[in-house]
Amino acid sequence: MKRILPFLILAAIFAIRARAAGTLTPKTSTEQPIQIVSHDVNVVIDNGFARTEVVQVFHNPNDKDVEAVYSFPVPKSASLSEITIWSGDREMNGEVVAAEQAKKAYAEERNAGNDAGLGECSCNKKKDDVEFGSYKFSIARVAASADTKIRFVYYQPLTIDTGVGRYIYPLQEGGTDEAAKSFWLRNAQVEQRFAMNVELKSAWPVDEVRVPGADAEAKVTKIDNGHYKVAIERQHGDLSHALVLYYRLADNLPGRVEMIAYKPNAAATGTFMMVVTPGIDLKPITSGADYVFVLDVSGSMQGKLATLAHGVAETMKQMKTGDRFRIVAFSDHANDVTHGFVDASPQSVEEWSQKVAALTPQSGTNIYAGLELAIKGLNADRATSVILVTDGVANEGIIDPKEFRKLLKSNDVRVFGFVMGNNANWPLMRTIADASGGFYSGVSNDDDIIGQILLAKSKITSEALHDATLKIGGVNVSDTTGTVIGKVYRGQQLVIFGRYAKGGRANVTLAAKLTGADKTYTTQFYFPETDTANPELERLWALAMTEDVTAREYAGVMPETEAENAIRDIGIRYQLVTDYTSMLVLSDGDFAKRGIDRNNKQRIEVEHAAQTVRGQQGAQSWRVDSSQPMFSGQSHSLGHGGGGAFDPATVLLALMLAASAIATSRRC
Amino acid sequence: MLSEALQYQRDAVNAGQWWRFATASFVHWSWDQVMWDGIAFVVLALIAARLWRVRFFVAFVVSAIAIPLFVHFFVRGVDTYRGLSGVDSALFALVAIRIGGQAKAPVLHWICFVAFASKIAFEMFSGSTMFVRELAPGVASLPVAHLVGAAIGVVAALLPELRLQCMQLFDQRSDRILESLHAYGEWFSG
Repeated sequence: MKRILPFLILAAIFAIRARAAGTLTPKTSTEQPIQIVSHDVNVVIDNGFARTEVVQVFHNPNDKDVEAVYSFPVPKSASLSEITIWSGDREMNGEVVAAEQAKKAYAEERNAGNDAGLGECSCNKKKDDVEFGSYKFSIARVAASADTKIRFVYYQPLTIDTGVGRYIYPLQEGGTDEAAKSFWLRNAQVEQRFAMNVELKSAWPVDEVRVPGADAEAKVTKIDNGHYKVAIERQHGDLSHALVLYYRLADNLPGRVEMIAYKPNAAATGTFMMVVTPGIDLKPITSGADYVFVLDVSGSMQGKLATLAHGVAETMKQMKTGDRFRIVAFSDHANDVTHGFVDASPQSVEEWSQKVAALTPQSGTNIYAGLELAIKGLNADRATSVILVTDGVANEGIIDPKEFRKLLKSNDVRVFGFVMGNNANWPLMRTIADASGGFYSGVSNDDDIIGQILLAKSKITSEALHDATLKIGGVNVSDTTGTVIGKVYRGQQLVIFGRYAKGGRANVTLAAKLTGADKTYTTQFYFPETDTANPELERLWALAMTEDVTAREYAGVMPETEAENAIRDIGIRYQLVTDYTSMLVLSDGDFAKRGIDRNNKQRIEVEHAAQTVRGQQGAQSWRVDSSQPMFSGQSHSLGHGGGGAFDPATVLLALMLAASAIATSRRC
Repeated sequence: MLSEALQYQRDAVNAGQWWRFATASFVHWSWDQVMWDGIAFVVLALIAARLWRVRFFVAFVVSAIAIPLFVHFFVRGVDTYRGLSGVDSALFALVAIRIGGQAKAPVLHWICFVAFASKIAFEMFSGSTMFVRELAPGVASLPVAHLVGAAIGVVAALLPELRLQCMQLFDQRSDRILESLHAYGEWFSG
């Protein structure tokens, strides 16, 4: 049995300034940087996915027209779907085409002095002119001394983890693209207003909503048990800190199966997103275990090591009698800091916490060396977990994901990866987690670190399901993602995307092993013949498919060119910006001139119509197993800690009372 | 690690670690919590122990154990508990009631008493504490701990009154019995 304490990661990230979103100006340019006048973010979180709309106004302080370039970290699993640019009275919208075609067309329009825009992504592949892990928006012509407005929209699935939902507005990047850093000057200051409005709709009661780090300025309004609005407004803000919103569902909710489907008519192919929240009794693990902390001390961790050390210390304090730990640090090479395992006693925890605090950053990020050293000399009789903390991209030593997979498949360890910052190499982290049966999580620098620690602790100090698979019978489904699951940890939600041809009664079975015994959980429900409520599902499914293709490429089971073609095809068909597709923004006339079909325009019209209908409704319940529950138990929740605490005002009352007591007793 | 071994923890108590009912009030989630709870405890305990030793002892011991017990049986959603403020609430109520019963309790006393009672009422009505939002990540301050503590303090403040009256009544009856015996003895010897 294994236990993991992933506290370190979060602490390292917390309160560390790294590179931000912002406008980019070449360092060699003689022009003044484009200014960000205002930045408005509107988010709707509605039962399983989030729609984020960003509206930004730029100002050109120069006395000539210039091109504006804006960089924005790619949120995890985001599908960029709309870009609108207003230049004066002119409104231009975007269509997704092949990346080379988009780049060429944009360059031609820009060189001709026309209005145009381009949205590109270096999502998982490095590009020469786009920062890794970022979207890059280019606007060909921002008029001299004038404003230009840009609006973009992306969708993301959001899962609930141990009863806690989490939304990150990812302004902060990991800071590892050295080439980009050396080329661009970044302006992340908002001259006037930064505003964020979040509407949360949940069919299940929500107990609490928080924005860690911005609790004081966030105005949280409860409209109903599962309906909240959160508003944050700042003057002269900056875009260097991510905003993280947590919402905690009520305790004692049932294990359940929920499904959203989109099928515009009986003849069309339907799309579904099924979310399984297990209600299985996973008992706490009580035996001693080994933990290996693999810590990134590369140059980009400069300024983060103090909080990393704090996180390590807090993590080790959570260990129990019988646990052992080992610390491996890596930069361009790996180093065994503890020279083997150390018993987790209070004295050794204190001693090694101080030594970790004294680590100094080096250059290079050689994740492979760190993992390889961590796996050496393990005790086969003890459960071992590896906690990997890194803030960016592997750029030294072995970087081929297939080699990582081979390394981890040949050893019986679980790796729990925590990535600091928003432009991490997600496919590599997924490869590492999948190959070892662990999990991975991104942590924003402004995340609620200790909250993430508690979530991870809950997972790794409890039993888990093994060899889990999900089968759907009775309905002809295809192009599914997420059905081969592997391990299911406490509090984990399973998300399955897929297509289906015809509605009907489906049998859904989750099969797994728990402490060696076979377990099956089944239910039956209907796939709808038509459902028009959530057309955005097609983009979410398409994004899940591209992530699956990338994971298979990284695992070495799909050739690179085949993966590239598959992603390009999906991106164009479902209008997603990917490594191989970009969004070209032109006027209606220019699209017609170039013979580019308005597929995205049609798709957006359908989505907006559905959003208008949903906007007038409360949260809808999408539970489909009510009549035949798949699970008999309750879903996992974090459990509350409670405390008795006097505040300073009450202590003052106590002092006053004591004074009056003394005065009275003297008089008597 | 010591704090984890001494805090109230539902699954540990269910597994037989009952000592946690007695120790939970004396561990805390943060140094901040230790400081404020500690100051209130020292101030109130010195007054109460000096003026009403037995009542102080009753309030202190009963609240320290009863509050984690209450959490265990009646606050099912809470899995862990630490903190001294429930005991502090018991001592606050004890001192406030005892002083309030005196003939010449100062105005300041009544201000404190009303403010404290209002705070507890607000906490119970709103479901959250007035000032302390979160003691540690995932750990919320529990208003009911203050209410239970205050109730125990009230009982500790009043119960000795009854005992004292019973003692006085017993003394009176004892005196009468002795007088009767004396009279009988005189008659017998007489």
